[in-house]
Amino acid sequence: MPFVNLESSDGDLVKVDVDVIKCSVTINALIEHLGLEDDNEVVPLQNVGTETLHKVLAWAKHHKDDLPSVDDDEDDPPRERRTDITTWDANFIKMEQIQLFDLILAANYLDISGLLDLGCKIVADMIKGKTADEIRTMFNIVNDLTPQEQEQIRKENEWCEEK
Amino acid sequence: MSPPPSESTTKEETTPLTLITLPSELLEKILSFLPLPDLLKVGEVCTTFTNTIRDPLFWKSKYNHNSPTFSQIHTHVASRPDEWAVHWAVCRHNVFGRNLLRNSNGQDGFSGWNIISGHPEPSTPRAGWTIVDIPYPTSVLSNSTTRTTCFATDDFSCSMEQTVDLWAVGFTPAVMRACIPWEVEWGVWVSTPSGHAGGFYELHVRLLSSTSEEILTHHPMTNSFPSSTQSEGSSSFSSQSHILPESLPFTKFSRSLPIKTSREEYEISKRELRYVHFYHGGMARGNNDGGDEGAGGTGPRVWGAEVKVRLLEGK
Repeated sequence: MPFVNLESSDGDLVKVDVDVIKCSVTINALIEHLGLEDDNEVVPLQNVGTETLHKVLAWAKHHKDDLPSVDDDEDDPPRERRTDITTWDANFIKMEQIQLFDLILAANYLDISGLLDLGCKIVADMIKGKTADEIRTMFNIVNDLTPQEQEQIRKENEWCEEK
Repeated sequence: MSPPPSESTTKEETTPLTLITLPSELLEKILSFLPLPDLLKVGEVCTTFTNTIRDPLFWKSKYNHNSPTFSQIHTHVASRPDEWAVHWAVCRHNVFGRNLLRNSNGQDGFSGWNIISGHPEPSTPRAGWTIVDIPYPTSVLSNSTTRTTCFATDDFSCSMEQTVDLWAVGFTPAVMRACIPWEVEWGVWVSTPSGHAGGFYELHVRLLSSTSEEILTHHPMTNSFPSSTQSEGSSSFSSQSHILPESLPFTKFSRSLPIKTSREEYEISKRELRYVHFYHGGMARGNNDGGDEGAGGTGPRVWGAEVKVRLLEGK
């Protein structure tokens, strides 16, 4: 199977088995578009740093033989979001917030839906069950709502509170 | 020569990557993985979060099979500022069109109902509410294919009540405001068992404010319910009646409170409409002539008690 050279935004070249990175819709399209035939051709990825690229490739390698994910059918709700995360993925995704967000951005740019879902699910899990204050602390968010807005939202939420 | 445009990318480089600085479609995707109750809280965090969950399109993927479709609701609320609250109420509580009263036919025993008089006492069968089969084949009952049981009153006064907290099932002031025109409707089916002397039935529905002040009362006159052998015209006092071809005397008491204009909504919201208190009861008329002493359930039977919030056509 042919190889492809990916160039990170830091200028580093990483040689990858095309079979490993086939999960990336973006890279597939680039390879096709650039008409790469030679193993020494380079695919530039301006939006992905070297560290993140290595993480993406580690994930892609592990999931290389996964069955292709079925596209979400627009007409097929309820969208019961699958929350099951495998042990391997759970260990893989243990990283600093900034790395996690970098990985999510990369997965989005490279169009790797499995990895993007994993990253987003993990962040959602971090938010789940927390108060607004706890969420602000955890993600270092400044509360920019005016006291009036806050009061209004709080009141509306109170109306909705379950018995 | 004009100076070259300033590099917009320089700013990005100095902005640290955080949850808030992620592109909006990614924040949206992250929040879409949250359970519905968490989404309320998320709206209190900061304007970015608030705006994300207040974007109507955010809710599209949250709809499920049992509710109206996103586009139905989206069209109905026509981008009113609180549209998101309506989507939340539909996704979380499926608030429109469903019966908000619990256990309306006694299918779960007496759960959900507060029995005021005629506590069911299995040991003394003629002393209170019982749950019996509906006295008619389900095929003749409208919309009732799944109903097979009903509550039966007895020789002595039987009454029960249940309160619906509209806010807690998602019909909050914000939703009431956003989804005009709508109506709250309520109703119940009543009959007397054949071979009995008829009886009395009373319905008392009150719409209450958050401080339990009365906003509207529906209290059909307490009337003698004719015996089943003289069924014609059995429902002259109800606002809606159903007499079957076989002259089976069952009757529906129902009414609704339609809110069609902002003015009407304003009047209701000023008074903080919150609860629907549903009270009803009855008893058999006089003594039945022997024979079935101890049989129980000789008074009027009730089923299909319902309180619903519905969206109305037209603006």
